[in-house]
Amino acid sequence: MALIGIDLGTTNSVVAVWTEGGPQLIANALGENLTPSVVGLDDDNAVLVGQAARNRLVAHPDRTVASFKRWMGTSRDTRLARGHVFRPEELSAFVLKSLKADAQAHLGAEVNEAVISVPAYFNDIQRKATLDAAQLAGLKVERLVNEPTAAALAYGLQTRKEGLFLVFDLGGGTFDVSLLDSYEGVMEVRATAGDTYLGGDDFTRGLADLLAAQHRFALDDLPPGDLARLLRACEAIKHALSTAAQTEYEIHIGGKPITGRLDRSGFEEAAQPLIRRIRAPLERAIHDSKKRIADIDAVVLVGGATRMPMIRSLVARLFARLPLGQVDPDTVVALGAAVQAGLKARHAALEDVVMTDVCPFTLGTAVTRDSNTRDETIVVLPIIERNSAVPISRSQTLTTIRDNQTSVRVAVYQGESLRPESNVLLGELDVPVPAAAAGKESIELRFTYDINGALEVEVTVASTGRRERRIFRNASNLPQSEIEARFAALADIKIAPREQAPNRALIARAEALYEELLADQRDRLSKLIARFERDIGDAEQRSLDGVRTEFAAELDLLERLTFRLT
Amino acid sequence: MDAWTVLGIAPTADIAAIRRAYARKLKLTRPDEDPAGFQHLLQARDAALDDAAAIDDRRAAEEPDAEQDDPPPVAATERHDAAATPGMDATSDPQAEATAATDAAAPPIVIRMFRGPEPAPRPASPVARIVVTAADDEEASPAASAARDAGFSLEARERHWATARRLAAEATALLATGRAPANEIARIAGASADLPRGPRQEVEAAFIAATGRHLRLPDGRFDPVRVVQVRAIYAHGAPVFGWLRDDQLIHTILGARDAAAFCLIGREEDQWQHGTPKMMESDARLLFANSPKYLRVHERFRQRGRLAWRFDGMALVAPPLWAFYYRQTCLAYATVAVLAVAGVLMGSADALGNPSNLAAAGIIVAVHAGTALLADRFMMWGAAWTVRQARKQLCYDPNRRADLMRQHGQQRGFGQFLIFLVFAAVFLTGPYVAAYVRLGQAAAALQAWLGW
Repeated sequence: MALIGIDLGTTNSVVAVWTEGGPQLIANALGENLTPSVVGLDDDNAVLVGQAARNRLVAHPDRTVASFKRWMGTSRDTRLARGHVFRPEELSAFVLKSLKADAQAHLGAEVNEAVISVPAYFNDIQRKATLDAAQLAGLKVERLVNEPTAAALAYGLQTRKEGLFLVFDLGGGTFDVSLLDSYEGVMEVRATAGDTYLGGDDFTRGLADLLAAQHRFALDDLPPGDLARLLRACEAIKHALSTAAQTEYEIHIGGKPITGRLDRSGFEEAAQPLIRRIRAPLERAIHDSKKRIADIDAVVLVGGATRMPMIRSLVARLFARLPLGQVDPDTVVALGAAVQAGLKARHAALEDVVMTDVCPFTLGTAVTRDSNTRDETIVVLPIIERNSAVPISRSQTLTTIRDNQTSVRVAVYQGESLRPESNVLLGELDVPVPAAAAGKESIELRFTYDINGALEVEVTVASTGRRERRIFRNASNLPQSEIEARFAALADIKIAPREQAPNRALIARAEALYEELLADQRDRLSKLIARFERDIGDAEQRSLDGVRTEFAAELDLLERLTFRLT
Repeated sequence: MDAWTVLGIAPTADIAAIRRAYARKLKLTRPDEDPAGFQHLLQARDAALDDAAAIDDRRAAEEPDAEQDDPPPVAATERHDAAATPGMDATSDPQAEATAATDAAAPPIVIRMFRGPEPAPRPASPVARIVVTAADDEEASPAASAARDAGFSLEARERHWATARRLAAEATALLATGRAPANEIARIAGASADLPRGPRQEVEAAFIAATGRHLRLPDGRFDPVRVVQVRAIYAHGAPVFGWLRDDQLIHTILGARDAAAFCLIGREEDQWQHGTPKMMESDARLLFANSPKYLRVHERFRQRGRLAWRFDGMALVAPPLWAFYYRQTCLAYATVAVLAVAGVLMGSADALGNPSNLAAAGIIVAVHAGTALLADRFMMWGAAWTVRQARKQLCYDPNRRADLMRQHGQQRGFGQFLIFLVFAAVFLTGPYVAAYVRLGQAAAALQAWLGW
């Protein structure tokens, strides 16, 4: 019975397992470690996940969806076809299911339990949505681990170094910073800060905005297919600019090709607003940890977006040292989740390692400012301060403010602002109290924040001893009954068989390429596709690999010619 | 239960030993298995670290006391309680030592100043206590300080931190209103005077964070309201938190901050000069986010980092030098003007164009211009050196470095242009002076010829 570690990313997801020799990555059906977090429906309404779906983004933008991690915790519905409307939790569940299938194929055993990583700055609602997604995928979540913590865990275990590390995690859609103190086998997270709406996708989007401004068209007016194509091209440009100083591009928008040349400095200029947003969390994390920049021993870069030279130079400039390059930014989080799984299972090799984490947000309740002066402005009274070590339990005694008040409303907020309206409302609870003069009745409010980042609220009325306990589920989270109904519904949905995945991915890639090509080359490609489909239909298992390799080589050649990326 | 008992070690000032003990205990109380035990252990660890700093402080307090003749004992204890890092810093810092010595030698009224003004009765202000907490009425009571003196207990510590957090929240809320009610500030500062060092720093940080925020208006001028507020904070906070009691301090801080921004970040230089509030988001802000320069003014001289020393040095040296330069230049021009007027008046009174006055003027102008020039060259050299050092340590990006160098080159060019103007002013007036002299001589000759 294996416990797996899953990095459920915005762009890519990775699964790993703890073995005797340390954490080990599990490849998917295509033999790749990274599974794109993309979900789509094929022409028979079967669900496609991963590379196959990603390749169909351009050709079938209305039947494919990506970056849905950004919608976790909202009740946004995505319609992929008639009768196929999914919530973000369900889309994530498809990815989790596919990863689970990969792990089962690799381990040759049933897998039911997982440690899943979430961005450290995910709030309570988003964390619960992730738990729901796992439940929909038939996985029991043993722990939710914060991504930078997982990265630090994998890194710390790999190098066995002691000191203060700063983990800079800029992923596809989220940005997290964690300061981690490692000593005597203790990995202590000192502070965490982040921005859940900042990531590599925003840089791609910024590049698209730049191109739109240069070539005078509006992104909002583009049909979805063109937009998907543009974004994909922008991503290719972004990747190219990570290694080359400048690149040329040719993109077909609305049937017309737009061409041009872009250099790194132009891109960096356009990305300045994003770079500025990166600074605030860094500042806060360092401030909260009560450490100075000079105390930091190493900076660990995590997440694909940290490959951009501008990020590396920003880090070098801010911390006056070069970031470490010895970890693979794409897979280190999954490895860390696997280490956490090992810790959870109390593997012998991890006997002397303990990890302590912090809660990234302040949790509080709404109170009036001062009953004595009749100032009834509602403010938030912090109960658990941000960056306190978890698990933690704190209580506060509050009193009534009106004569003959019969009930107290406890509103639970998450966030740093004094004003309730600028914080996230996690839930409300009405507690009946006996009628008495103002200030005579009191309740004890206890907040317990567990190691997975889930909050439990307990209210005790002092005079009656009546006790209420509540774990809040937000309105945008699914109710438990709904989860069960959807779990049953998902079982009926056809999922494309895993064995067919490599072929589907290749065909999807070819179809995406087909859209880019013109006259002669289109002809040639359509013949290639037809031949490939015929070949895989009657090929032996043994020669199938040869057929695939041959077809992939042809596609490589055509892509190089088409995108002209050097 | 005592923090040291929880950790299973004897009281010590050795931070590494505390961390080791904590690590050993943590492996027995894992956070996922025993949440309550873990929190207890964590609090004990933090308390022990606080206590270790106090032990360190006390040890440092004993050494200089032995050397001094007859300092008032309470004042001495208070002083070293307030000073953050003890020991070697005191010796490496003559100026702070000097300040401290003055304090110790002052009459006993100083003790009162250190303690801060007595808490005023709570006025009916819109910003006041947040509803009701059990610990609310206990703060600043004799019991709290007694608990502190008696030794250490987790409960007292909890209470101190709760009080500190509440005071910090109050300070933040109060200062965010943009007003500066001195009695409120005095109350908060006074209430935190009784806290131990760790919690007190929490309040101090809130005060200092508030002073740094939005000091300038969008057009670059200092916001007069905020400046009044900052003055009030320093007036009441300095005795409690051990800041140097100097009204000029405010300007020194601003100077140091601006200088740091200037030296570190070429690109923010314009913003610095034009005073846009963007400066607060600069890399310099981040670099110094937790340095004493930003957060703890009284540790300004205790800065151990060589880099920060250098910026402190520049911040201290640069303004007087500039003042000297400008004074010299202004003096030179004023002298020329006065002598010219005097020359004209005297010339019309007796021998018009008597050249001796003008020769004196010329010599004075030359001397002043020369001095100004030397001062200017020195300034340029110093600035270039600082910027070069900053760049060497902070800029890894070659493009950015080139950018900085170019910007600095432009400034240098402008400086040299200014020097050229001074030269031109001196030398271009030469012919006029000569013509004036010749005219005077001619007039005298004419007078002689006419026999007037």
